[in-house]
Amino acid sequence: MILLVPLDPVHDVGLKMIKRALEEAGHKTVLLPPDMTPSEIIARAEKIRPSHMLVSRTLGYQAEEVLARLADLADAAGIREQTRMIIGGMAVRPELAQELGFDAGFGPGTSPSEVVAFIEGRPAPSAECAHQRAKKDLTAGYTYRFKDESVGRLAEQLADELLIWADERTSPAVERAELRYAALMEGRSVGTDYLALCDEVVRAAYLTGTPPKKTRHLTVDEQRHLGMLGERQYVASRPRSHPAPVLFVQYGTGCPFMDVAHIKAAVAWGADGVVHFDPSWGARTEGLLEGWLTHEEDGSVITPENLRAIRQALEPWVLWQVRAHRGLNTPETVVLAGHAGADLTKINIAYGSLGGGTDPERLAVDGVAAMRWAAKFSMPFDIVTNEELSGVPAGKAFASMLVMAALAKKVGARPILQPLFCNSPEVMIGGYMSDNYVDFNVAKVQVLRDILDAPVWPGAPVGFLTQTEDRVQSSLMTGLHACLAGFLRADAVTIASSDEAYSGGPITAAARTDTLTAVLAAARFFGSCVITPTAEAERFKRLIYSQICDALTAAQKAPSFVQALYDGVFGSRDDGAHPGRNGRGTVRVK
Amino acid sequence: MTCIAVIGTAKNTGKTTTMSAIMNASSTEGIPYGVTSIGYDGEELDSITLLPKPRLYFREGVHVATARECLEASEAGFSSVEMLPLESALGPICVATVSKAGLVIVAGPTRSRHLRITAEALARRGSRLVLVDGALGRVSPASVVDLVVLAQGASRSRDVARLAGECSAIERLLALPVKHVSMPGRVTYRAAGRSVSLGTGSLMDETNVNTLLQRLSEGSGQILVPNAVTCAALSALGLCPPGLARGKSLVFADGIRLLVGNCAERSWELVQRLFALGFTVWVARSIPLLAVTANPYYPRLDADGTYRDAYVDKQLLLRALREAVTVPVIDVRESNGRSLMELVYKQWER
Amino acid sequence: MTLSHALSRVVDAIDIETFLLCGSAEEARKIALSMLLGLGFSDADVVSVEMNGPGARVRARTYVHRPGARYGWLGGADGGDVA
Repeated sequence: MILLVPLDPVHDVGLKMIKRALEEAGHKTVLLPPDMTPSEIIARAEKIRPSHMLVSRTLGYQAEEVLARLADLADAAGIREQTRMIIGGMAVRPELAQELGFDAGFGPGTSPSEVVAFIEGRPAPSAECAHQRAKKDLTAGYTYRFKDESVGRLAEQLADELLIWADERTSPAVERAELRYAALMEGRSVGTDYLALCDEVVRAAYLTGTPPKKTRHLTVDEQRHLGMLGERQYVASRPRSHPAPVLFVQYGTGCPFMDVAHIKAAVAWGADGVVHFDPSWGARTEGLLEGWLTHEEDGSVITPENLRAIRQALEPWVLWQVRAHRGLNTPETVVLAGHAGADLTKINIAYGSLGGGTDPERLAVDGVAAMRWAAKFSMPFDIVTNEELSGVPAGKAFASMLVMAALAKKVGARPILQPLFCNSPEVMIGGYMSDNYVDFNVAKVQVLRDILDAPVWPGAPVGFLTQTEDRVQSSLMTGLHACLAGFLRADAVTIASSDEAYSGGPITAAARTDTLTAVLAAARFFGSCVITPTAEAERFKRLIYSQICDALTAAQKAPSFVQALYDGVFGSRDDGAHPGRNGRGTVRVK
Repeated sequence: MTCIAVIGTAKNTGKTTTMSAIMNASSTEGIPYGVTSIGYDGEELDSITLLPKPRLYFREGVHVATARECLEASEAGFSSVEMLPLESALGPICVATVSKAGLVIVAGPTRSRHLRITAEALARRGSRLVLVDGALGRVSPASVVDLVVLAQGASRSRDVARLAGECSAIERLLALPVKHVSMPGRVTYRAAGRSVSLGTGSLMDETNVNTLLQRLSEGSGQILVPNAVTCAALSALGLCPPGLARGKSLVFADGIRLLVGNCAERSWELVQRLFALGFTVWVARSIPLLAVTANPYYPRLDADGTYRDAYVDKQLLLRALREAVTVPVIDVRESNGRSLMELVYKQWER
Repeated sequence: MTLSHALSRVVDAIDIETFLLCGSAEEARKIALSMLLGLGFSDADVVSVEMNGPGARVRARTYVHRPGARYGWLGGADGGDVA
């Protein structure tokens, strides 16, 4: 028998929910009327002899005394041996329950099932979840079969040619990745052979210990704190009331400490995974650094130590992606990420060379090597298509993405398609979102689904160029875009913070929780409802599909995939895409 | 082993400061001792008022009983950690010995039987004194201790006369005469070869009491009450016809059980009425009041919604309390605990 | 709790959001910045401002801890102590 005691009539809704959950679990309950005095309650408890007494009460200075008296009376009446006393309500924490003399305390946000579990002596479902919650494999169940055979044939042919081409070549990054891997396996720092393949600023950092501008080494004390910070802020996974795609947030404040604080906050607010952002100069500089480094500007420096520190701070079930996609360190970043235990990475030759500033030839060689490393570490990667932001039409970006997917499949890797959900230049000029933000995004996902049986992960982040600096607008846009991904049964979604459109300073932790709150609230609102796009979506599908076919056909006619990139087949100067120059002329034929 | 509980009439009446004073004095005197709390000691700030709270500093060699997670979170270091078979809201309770001095978060047993087991475990470690910090206005677990120090302060009420009246009532209730009887598990009436019991061990309300009164016969007899007694029950007992009351002994387990309603003055008034009716009122076990500590501090809620430190006139408070009780009234902040230790010595001499 | 103690717990920034009666977004920006400066925060910026009708919805921000700085909440650093 469980006695339910509402000391506050206004706040007994929670108690009634718990009553229902207990009864469904087969327990007998008695709900007392509100406003009984402590001695009246204990008198009833003496008669009923409940196994548990659940008291709900909001707290204030006086309320504490009333609750304390209730526990005191129960003890003096000798019923504590048979009746466990539990307090629940606003501001209740275990420390307060202890001070009040109760056996347990549950604060706001406690689910009825947690209380039932406590009463039945089982571990709390959320804690159970946190421990047993397996990381979701986003690629599970996908065959990577091209459902559209004509597109598939073109993509596969281009991938085959690219593979043969790339395997005859090497680059400083490909060689550094090998040297880095050897060093990591032997637990040592990289040697002079590695430094010979680096830019001066990186070489100087190794040889003189001077970190690059705007970075500094963490002090020994800070390193110690960093280890502790991860342990101290253990975050239980918050059970979702409603299904939503696997939710990723980005971090990369520059500082590993701040990153850990942001990650912990994001995970506590419902994020399932986090994406590491490195500084933009990391993509333009040959060579990666070592040591515990903090950076004053956006992007957290990729070093073995920094990655390890972040890994240690992550709850075991949190998915972790380290981006490798765009720069001069792509294969080596995959090696570091895989070695540090990352679950996912990010690679796209086309985006990196058309929107990321890297020379197409160089990134083609590096990208293939990076995919092979990803396969070796069994680390799926997304093929991000952010070149759309420069003005590349969605269909052209998708064409190269599909070649990348075919390539990945050939080297044994598991790719994830990452279409953008964004109000891109193409969309703005074409007026594709003049009525709504739904149709074009629906068309993108459906086109990809019709072509290839592969996971889809809209990003990164969703809602690009739809958010303003107003945090309500920004959070709402993010929430709705994430829900759209949910309707489309996307496997995952990456969301921005409500600071997305603000460029005057670092993103704040509060801005991260803003959009997570919005996503979960929107998911709660829509539940399993479906959204119906207008007839325009079909038109957009046909448009994108023809762009894909045109681009793949044109690429096949080009001398090579790399040449097709230079020639603008997958995004031209007219579109707004410019082949990158970083690393030009560094590729060597073996 | 002597077990001393510091109980208060409310939150912020000076329990932890009193504890610190006794701990300091015990350390200075070289008396081996152990410490526990029936609540939670260790928060930097009061959860409601957000004002700083006193915390307990432990010297090396002192024994402590606290929840496992508190040991882990404490600044001090510990050796010989032993887990007791007792659960708290913060996990299992452990007994440990401080190996590196520092602040300790103390959260021990919250109920009587657990406190007894904990005090015995601290005694096994060689504690000659076991000090128990109270929580809020909770007193019940003090039923199992040997001596009580009462922390009275303006946090309870700004009305100094009321504070004095309450102390006086508590002293008197704790000083009820002792009748050595073996307590049954339930409320029992014994008279001339006859013994009847109620279904409960407590007198919580008038229904209990009326059932009891119906079983009473005229003439001598003993009413034994092993558990709690509320003011409502005392009040109902006061409606007993004088003919039935006369010649009856009312034996309560101890004075603490009369304090659990947190309305000592009313309880004392009602007990006096029982005497007047013809009952003689006893306790089965004496838990003497050692001293009263006075604390003029209270958290004042200001118009802007924040609490600020405030004080009533200290001299006025001390004078009022000293007039009200026969035991010493101590300003703990000034005496540094030595006077309290002297009182403990006197108890040991007896 | 002292102000510096309280500030040491701020993970990164403090935002002040309000609605200002004013004539233009530029005026709102100036008022919001002067408000933060007046409160003693020199590292101030306006994150968002939207002017409509009688006034502006404005959010101003001051960074207490920027990435790479030494954070009060790390403990030991600036007297902040995370228990």
